Amino acid sequence: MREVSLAISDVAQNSIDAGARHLRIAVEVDEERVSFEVSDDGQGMDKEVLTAALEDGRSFKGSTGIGLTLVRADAKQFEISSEKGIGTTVRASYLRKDGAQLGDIGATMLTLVGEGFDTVLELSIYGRTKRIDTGELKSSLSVAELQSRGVLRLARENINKFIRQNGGANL
Amino acid sequence: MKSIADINEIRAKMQAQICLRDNSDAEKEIHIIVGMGTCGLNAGARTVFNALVDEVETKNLKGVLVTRTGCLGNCEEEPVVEVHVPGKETVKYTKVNAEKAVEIINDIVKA
Repeated sequence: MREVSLAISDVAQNSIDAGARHLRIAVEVDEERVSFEVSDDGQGMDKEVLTAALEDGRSFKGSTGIGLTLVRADAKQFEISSEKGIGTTVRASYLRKDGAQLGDIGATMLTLVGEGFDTVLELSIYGRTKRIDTGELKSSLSVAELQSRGVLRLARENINKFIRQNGGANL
Repeated sequence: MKSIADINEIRAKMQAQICLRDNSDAEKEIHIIVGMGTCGLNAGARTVFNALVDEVETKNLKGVLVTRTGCLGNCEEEPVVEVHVPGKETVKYTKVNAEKAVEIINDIVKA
């Protein structure tokens, strides 16, 4: 089973490609599940486009069209809602007894500090919470400066340290 | 104690300054673009992205931006990285891994 933080990255790329300026990523890990919700303010989809987007191998952006198929493949629950002109929300949850692991969400988050969009990550590990807002990181430094000054590396390590301290090394 | 309105006003002013700086420096920035579509992700693009950012920091490079995009094509040659240097032809690297990411940064430094 692919690590859930890669599924989150896959869904987030859809948001970016849809022109989202704001992404909100909520992740929750408890004894039974690893769950996430990615919501965006991208261009959204009407019902017809949404139905087509869920078809395996169908893509509106020249890609393979298998991203959402992979996200859904091992999910215990999967839900997508979208409204044209408003945005899209994807929710999925995976059972830990089936091998689901959160994986390196810090590394995923580092790739989601970009120009043109802001990402808020709300992480809950066994009820302990952490929030990262890339808009706050970018309030005084450009993305290039955040990269070259090691700010993003520290943020990545900070996130992963929080996970290890609250959930252990193999989440 | 500053109110929320005061803080938002300060942030708006700083944001305007950043935009000015970004607009003047953005034209000279070297862009390293990592394909992070599904194929790229499954082939290790996230590791490549992080390795590039880590190397930019290690070498203390200024004016270099690592950024993500969706599928860049060449699915069988993922991870794919493109380097855009202003005034020069775009260079595309394929089957990139963490070690090659370091070589890409070295190529940028030498150029």
